[in-house]
Amino acid sequence: MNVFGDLLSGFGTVLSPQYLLYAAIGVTLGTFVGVLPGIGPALTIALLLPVTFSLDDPIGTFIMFAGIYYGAMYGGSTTSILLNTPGESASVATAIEGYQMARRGRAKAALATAAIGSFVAGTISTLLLSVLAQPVARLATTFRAADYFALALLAMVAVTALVGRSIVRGLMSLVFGLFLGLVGIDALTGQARFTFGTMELLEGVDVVVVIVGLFAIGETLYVAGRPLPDQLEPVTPGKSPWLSRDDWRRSWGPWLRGTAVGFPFGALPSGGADVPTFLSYTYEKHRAAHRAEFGKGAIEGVAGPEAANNAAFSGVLVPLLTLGIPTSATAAVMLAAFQIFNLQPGPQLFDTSPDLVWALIASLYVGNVLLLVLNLPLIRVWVKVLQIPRPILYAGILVFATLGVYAATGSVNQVFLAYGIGVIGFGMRHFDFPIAPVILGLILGPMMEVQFRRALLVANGDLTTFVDRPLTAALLTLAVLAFVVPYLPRIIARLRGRTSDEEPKKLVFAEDD
Amino acid sequence: METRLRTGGVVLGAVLVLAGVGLVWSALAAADGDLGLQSPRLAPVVISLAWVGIAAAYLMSQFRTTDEEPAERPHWWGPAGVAASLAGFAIALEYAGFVVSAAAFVLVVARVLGSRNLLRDAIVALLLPVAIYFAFTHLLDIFLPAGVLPL
Repeated sequence: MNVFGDLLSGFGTVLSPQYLLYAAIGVTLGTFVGVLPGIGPALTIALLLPVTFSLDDPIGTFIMFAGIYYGAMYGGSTTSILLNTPGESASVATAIEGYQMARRGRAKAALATAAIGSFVAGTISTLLLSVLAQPVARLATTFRAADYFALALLAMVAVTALVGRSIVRGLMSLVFGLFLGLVGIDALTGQARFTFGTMELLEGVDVVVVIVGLFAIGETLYVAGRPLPDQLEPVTPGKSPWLSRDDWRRSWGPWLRGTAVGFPFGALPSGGADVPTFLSYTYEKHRAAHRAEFGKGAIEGVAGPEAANNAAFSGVLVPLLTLGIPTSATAAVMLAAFQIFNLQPGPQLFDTSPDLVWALIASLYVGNVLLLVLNLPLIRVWVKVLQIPRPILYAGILVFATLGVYAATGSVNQVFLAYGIGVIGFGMRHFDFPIAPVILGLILGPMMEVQFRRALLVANGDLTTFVDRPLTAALLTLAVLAFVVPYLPRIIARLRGRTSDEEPKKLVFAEDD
Repeated sequence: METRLRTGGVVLGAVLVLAGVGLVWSALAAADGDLGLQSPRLAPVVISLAWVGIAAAYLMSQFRTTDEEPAERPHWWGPAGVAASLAGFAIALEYAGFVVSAAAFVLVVARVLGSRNLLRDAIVALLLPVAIYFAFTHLLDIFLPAGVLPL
């Protein structure tokens, strides 16, 4: 069957009343949780994982996840626009102009350009995903163990080098994630590692435990150390018009350009949506006819980054679905969700579970439509959610975090483990260590080790197997280059003979996922 | 440029180095000399050595001059109070049950986080756990301990 035939069959599955209901629940729940300040899509999915445990149907679950993800992203932009509190760094660019628009009485226009931009970008990039996924998966079937090792290393190293303000702190986070990934029984030989004699650690450290610990518990402990206003006061959208003719004229270009930037960056190991949203913002600022409006509420500064943010998600799904490689913390949670259903994303997934893959891709289109249909009319509800008193909000988040870990593992010891990791997450936030490398190290580390040992087994222990093939060698070279890129401005400055005081610092592509 | 000794960073760096040394020792003891390229004992040694190296680099960086803004000083009783409440919640979860332990937890944590509206907190502490309990056990078929309440 060709791509469009496969996609049509995916739509055939998704467009049943039961799955449409799942998608609607996903979008609503995702927006509800995503709108809460300080909660990004990765944590939203991790917190909502238990909701799907009772579903014995992976297709329904992933349809719900697609809705949750889109809802969480849109919820993040609502918070950025109305409260100037981005839930994740990919929404920071939106907050800059969106909040200013809202303060000038144009909240509805900002929310509408964000929602319609997300819809346009989501639809185009899902179309690109539909076309690209199968050829990339076919190409991936020619990959050998050494290539997978190099690819996992590249994804891990690139994200670590590009995220955060210090490579040393990024590497420390990565090594912590790699250590967590080693805990438990070795996949190839069954030997216990770093279990320190406890039965509880034999099964390893669950990714849900780590994500809930680092993001939910770590974040709340961090917030608890600072003065907390009882209630936040978002800008209320009021009765201002949605989008004027002029707003449409100024928005469609940034939507399309944001999509063009977002999709490829999402597909590359660059940490997800953070880089393309800032690129889109900067580009729109430079080319805008109303450049003076930037910083005071330029609609292009909301339209472009929001489109880039949404397009990047479909891009992130390319390496996740075709290679089984997550390139952002959110993708890592999605991978964990796949693994709950004993599904391993990768080239074989298209052969073993084509129904699931194409239903998931079709559900992205459906999720996009539902997002547009449900969210703009419900904006007053989301404003109410933003007004939940902060102490109650964080207490509720902790109850859900505990519930999530307990439901996922059925063990109080695992709940304590999540709390312990939360304390570490609190320390990481305090000392400015990025969190995304921990998640990628935890997920990609074991994969990388298994492929390394497999490659050596096939090559009879010959290490040159990692440089024999041009593809493997090229991927490893890129991994090395990824370390150099953030320091290029400094290197160039030195070559030009500037003193150390004048040198620029490390380039920061993104703060965290 | 102002020269500051980042005490917190130095302590953290030292703790990380010590933890790394402990991991290297543990990994080497488990390996018992079996460090072949395909051995499952190699990765723990490599990762723990990398840990020590990076932690040492971090520790050294804390002695250098910096123009980075010092981290905002948090008050410690807030996180400590939340952490203690979490521990109590987890311990009580299987004995007292989800509803009772979560209700007490919400009430206490809201106070720790600065809420002074006791009536509002009590209403939320009562309704939220009950709603979650019935939604998860009855609608989603997920087990949560009932504990002391005849639910």
